[in-house]
Amino acid sequence: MKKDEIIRVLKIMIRNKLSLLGIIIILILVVTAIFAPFLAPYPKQAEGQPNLEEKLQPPSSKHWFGTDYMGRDVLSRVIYGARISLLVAITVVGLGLLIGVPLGLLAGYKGGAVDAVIMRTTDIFLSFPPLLLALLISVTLGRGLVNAIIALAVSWWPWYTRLIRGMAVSIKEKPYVEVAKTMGVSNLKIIARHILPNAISPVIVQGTMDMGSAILEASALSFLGLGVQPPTADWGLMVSQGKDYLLNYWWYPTFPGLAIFITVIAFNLVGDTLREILDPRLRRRYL
Amino acid sequence: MKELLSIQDLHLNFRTFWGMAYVLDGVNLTIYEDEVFGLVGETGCGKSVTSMSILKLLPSNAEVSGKIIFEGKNLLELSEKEMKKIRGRKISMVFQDPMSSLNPLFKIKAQMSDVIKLHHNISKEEALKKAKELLKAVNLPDPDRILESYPHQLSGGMRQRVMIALALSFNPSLLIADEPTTALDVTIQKQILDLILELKEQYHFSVLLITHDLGVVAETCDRVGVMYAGNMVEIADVEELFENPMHPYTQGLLSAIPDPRYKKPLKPLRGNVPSLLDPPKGCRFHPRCDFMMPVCKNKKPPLVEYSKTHYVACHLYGGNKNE
Repeated sequence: MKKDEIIRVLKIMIRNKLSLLGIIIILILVVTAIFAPFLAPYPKQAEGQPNLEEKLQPPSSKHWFGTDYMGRDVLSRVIYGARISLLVAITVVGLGLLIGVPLGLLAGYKGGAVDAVIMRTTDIFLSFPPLLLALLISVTLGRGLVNAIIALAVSWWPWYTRLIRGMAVSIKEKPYVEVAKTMGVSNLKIIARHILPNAISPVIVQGTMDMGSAILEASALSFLGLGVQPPTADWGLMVSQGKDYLLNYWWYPTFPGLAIFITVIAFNLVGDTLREILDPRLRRRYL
Repeated sequence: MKELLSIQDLHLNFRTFWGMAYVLDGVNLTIYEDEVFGLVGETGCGKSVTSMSILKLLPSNAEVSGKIIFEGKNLLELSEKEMKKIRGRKISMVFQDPMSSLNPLFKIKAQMSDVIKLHHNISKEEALKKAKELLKAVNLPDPDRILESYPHQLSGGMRQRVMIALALSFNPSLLIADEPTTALDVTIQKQILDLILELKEQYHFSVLLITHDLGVVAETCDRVGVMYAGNMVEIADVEELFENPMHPYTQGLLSAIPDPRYKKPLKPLRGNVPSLLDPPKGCRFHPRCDFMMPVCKNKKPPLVEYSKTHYVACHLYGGNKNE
């Protein structure tokens, strides 16, 4: 995409109320993550320092979201959790794209045996239920945030490979690719100049939506005790720890859960609008 | 006249799911310097595939044999690396569909300078200057505006002119035009054909014009080759072909052109194009031919010289005298 096209897409996204809402939420999230130590009322507690005198306090002016079973301020921990969530979203999707896109381009453009090997490999990965595969890898590698990210990325890339391979297969038959070949353009250049730019839009859309899903799945891993380890503040982990207190101390799992919910929705809103803009069939109405 | 390109006994088969498809069955043709050679025939008779064999851009399930001699070298024996130096530089191509021959995502400027920089080792500014010259050469008004446009902002005729400009950027000695006007309005067709002829005088290249439109052939070509089901059935100077068509297939083609003066019913060729998976033995045209003889069923007629300007592959004309 060219600069002016990106600007045009951004303009449309801001004009659309829902995607504007999504963008605002994501921006707030980013700002929150960056300035967490300044925004959190109790940064020490967010990093794990217990405060047992005030444990399981309901929301009040002192603790807006209440406190958890160690007396730590839930608001501060939700704010710190944004850091982990964004990190997970960006690295999982980024790694997935980094592995998936080149493989998909190669498979689609080359065809034949290369295609068969790459696509059967993705089939193997996709034959597992997504979370199960991530769980498996995560268990094998051991607990911890980095391993959880690796596990998610490994179970994630085949989706992008499939998506971009399908695009590449149809684009390589386009006359302008044929023309480029008759002009003596090299395969690498054809992939870089013709196939990738024309195939990337659905991947951008999918990637945006997946940021939400990545957060959700990372939370699920944390919930199951495989992702982020205590005392680090993570939304999934907080929900996991708070679930036992749900009946009497509703605020404890609810606020981190809401944070996950709102973040995933924000990414989906942005992704949906992006899809409408970048999908050639839906595009016309915006031009 | 000097020979520029000579195709000798070109056979091309495609391995397909249903078996081998015998797409080209011994095609012979010679293109001389500075001439316009027309290649006519029905859809699927192998015209485009012949041109793609010249550039060696065939799918991986193709099997080729024969010779394609260009400037003294057999193109079929060249490596991929050597072919890249020929594609675009020595032989370039203009396609049927100008609407989709340009990448919709990039401005004309980017696409032209990309191609120009590919073979000439020059800076971006120089490439743009060259692009502007080329656009002027193909009679496009206001080249600056064109360079700043996206493909969808140009009309079909303009895009085809851009494609021709691109094809000419390295002064090729052969321009293959694969139905360059099929997708255009009749008035634009005429302009584009005139442009190709005009540029040919200016830049001295030969043209291999692939078309199924006999009107286009009559108007632009010096010599014509008629193809049927993967065979070259007749090659002749253009006037000769229209005045004295020898092969029954060519005769059939010409009698299928409507003539508004007489309003007589058209005489379509009977039968259908044979399947290339199981082509008829002997002359591939014999099941549809009004002059079929017993020999046609068994023996493929060779392309023989009837006169200096007329070659025909048909048993009616003494190809079987020595049998």
